[in-house]
Amino acid sequence: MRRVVSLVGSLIAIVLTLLVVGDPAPAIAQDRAVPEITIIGPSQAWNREHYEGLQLLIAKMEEVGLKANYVATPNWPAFVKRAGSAPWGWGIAAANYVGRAQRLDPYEFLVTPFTETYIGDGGTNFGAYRNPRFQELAEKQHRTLDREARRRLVFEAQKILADDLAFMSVFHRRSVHVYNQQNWDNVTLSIGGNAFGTTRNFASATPKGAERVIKVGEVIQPKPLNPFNIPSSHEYLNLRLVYDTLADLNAAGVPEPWLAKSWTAVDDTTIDVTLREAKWHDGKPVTADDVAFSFAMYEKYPAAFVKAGVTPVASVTATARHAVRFKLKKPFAPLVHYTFTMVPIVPQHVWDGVIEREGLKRHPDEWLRPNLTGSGPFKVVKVVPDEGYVYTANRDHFLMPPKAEGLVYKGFANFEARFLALASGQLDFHTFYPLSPEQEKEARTNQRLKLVHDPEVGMSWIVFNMRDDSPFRDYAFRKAVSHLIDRRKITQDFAWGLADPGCSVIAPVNKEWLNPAVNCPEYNAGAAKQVLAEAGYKWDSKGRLLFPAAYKPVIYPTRKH
Amino acid sequence: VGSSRLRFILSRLAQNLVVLVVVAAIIFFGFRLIPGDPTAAFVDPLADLETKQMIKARFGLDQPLWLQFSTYMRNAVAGDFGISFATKLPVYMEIGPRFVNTLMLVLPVMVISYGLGSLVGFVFGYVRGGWDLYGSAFFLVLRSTPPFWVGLLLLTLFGYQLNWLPIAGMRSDLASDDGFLATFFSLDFARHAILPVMAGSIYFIGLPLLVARSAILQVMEEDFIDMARAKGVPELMILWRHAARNALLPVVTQTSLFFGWAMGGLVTIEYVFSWPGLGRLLVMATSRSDYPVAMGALLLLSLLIMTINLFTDFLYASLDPRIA
Repeated sequence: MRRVVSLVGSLIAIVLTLLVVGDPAPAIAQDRAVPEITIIGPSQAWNREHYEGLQLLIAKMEEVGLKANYVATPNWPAFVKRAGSAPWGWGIAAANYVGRAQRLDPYEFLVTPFTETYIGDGGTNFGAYRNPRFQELAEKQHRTLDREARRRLVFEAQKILADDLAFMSVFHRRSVHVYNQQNWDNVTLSIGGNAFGTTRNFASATPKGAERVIKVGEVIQPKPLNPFNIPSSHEYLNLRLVYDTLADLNAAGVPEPWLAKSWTAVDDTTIDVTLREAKWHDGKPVTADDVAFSFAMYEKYPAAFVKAGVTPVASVTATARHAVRFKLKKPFAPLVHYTFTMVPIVPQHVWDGVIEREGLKRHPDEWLRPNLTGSGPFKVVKVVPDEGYVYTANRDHFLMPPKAEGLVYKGFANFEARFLALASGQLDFHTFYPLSPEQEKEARTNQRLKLVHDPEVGMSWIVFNMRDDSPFRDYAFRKAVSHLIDRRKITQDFAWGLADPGCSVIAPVNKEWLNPAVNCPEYNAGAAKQVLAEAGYKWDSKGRLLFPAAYKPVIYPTRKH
Repeated sequence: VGSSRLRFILSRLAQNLVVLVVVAAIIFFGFRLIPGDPTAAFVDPLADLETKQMIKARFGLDQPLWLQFSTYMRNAVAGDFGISFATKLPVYMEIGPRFVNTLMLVLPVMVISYGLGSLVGFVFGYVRGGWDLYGSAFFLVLRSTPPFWVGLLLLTLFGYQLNWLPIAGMRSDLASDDGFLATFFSLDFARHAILPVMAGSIYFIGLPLLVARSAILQVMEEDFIDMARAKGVPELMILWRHAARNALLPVVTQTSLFFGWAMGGLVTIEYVFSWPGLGRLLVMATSRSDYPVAMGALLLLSLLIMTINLFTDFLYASLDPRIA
């Protein structure tokens, strides 16, 4: 008994001595094994291919003496809660960004996930990446109106990001979409994830036979429509059928004039826009006042999906019956791609003074049965929450009067039923969500269905935690782990060939903005070990990876200038 | 009404009130424990922190939890369950129509499974042995089959292969929502309801059938059946007038349990057939952290089940004074 007591006593003494005498610097003790690494990633149900790829990565990490555990999160909010708030104990975080046509502009993907403003609780710079040079370029590119000059900045920023190995795209899905080719002609699929879900597509789709109403279905729970409450991209799409925007992205993702006839930059922060002659569904003309009013309303009552477009705008004033002047807070390069294609123009005669008139508390989103008069190619006939929406064609549309007579948009509860409805002709189109690989196989033999592929603008990615106490703070460590990602196996085996390997935060399909010089470490387990050995890492007798003798992380690679 | 019975009723009411408050607290704090960001329901996930903060403040989500809870309870007592984060509609407007939609699904399922099921059960029990065993085994298998699988099978067969019936939803062009009668008493609605009602009935018919079967087996052993036989009452008359009536009690008890449970429990059927019902609303609201709607729906379901239990208690008390 006494021996036990004295043993415990001396142990306590040793620990206390270590605590008191120990080096105050965060240096990691000699021969210390690299601790187990936590990977926060998607659940199998959320992103199966990514999940499987990460399990493979864990197996490969084990081969170089690293232990890892996996924390699965069921969806984006849960992921943000776990990876985007203290304690930042994880090593790798993995999730995906949904592609959206607005995101073809490099603004969002370069700024929100990597700049310093977004470090912290709930922020989206998960790995606390802070490279001053990158920060400077990211800021500068979206203030540079000259497209060519901006492109050079975006290229350089991308290159730095990839070379720093702070973030890595693993793969981009190649989504499969189908439509009913027996009933519809002149169908356009837009890149950037909108697929068939565009005003453009539904306005131009031409009936081949007696079926003249477009039947659209998607796995959503349709919410009431209100231009000042946009809970998801589905409601946004439906609002866009009804409300026009100044510009619209074409099938290739390039902005084209829509309600605006043309625009010219007077100087870096002043842009003049000329409007077309258009009419509201109730017959009144669309004027410059409506445009100015819409921007003022969205400034006052921000709505998701629109807010990012309104923020850079200082003021919009009507300068003539069909002309407005935009004043920006700072030069904002994506103005046309973002602001003009994003912000719905709503009628002033309907929404002016709505709070008082309808007896609302504080926000127009409380108007329960709003007057949905717009100027777009479709007019609302009926909104049935939880079930769907019914529209008729606006034959008097100034640009794209629909070829169909109307459109019915139905919410489905599951993907199996949606596919059965497409396959049996009860549906003509789905909008955003692609078919599963199994459904693709089925669809290939179905005469009714036409199959179209859409490479993703979004991506499934990983970030490394670059905070002080994370082993990933060391560049060599990040590089070694990067060598363990087998993109070929992930895209070919796990994704059934329906994905392309990624690297940059700009997707390969986004040709205008992708820097072709960006590259990521090749899959090579031998190279991983070599990188670690060269940086001074060692292995103990059990094969566990040990930190270098005098460990001092080198955060960024040495650059040639 | 005697004073002891009155006391019984009052004490049961008080008990239920306490239970309801406890349930509300569990639901309230339970939702706060589920990982997920309620602001995700109405802002872009990549929105800046300032916007998220603004929205949290608007809905009082930046307040301490106990304060949020007391505010919620105070408003709930006054009949105000808040507004949905996602749609900004008052919670009763979210729940009300879905409740009716689910009811229109539950009622036919109940009539078929409990009406037809108990009839078949009586016959099986009366016959006893022989083909009754195969029949009971068959319904037992149906009872053990997952309803979503049966549902998908029905969809594939009648919706896709034969293309006779609609695959999703409650009405085809959404054009018939011009009132309760026009919506629920139309051929279109019936066509949409056939498959989900079938799937639900296939699943639920097993229980009342087996309960009815064993109940009648018991009753057939009773002396008064022998007595009736001795009097020369025809066999059919014995089954319907003497045996079935007495065997009906356990089935009725089951029915009240079924009703409360099915209102929320038909969620798999609602999921497969894209039925705009209460169960689906509950699941969706939970998954997108729309607390007010999810809490409202759960509270309604608890209230419903408690009311039915209470009602059954009172019924029993008046049938059997020993209980009070």
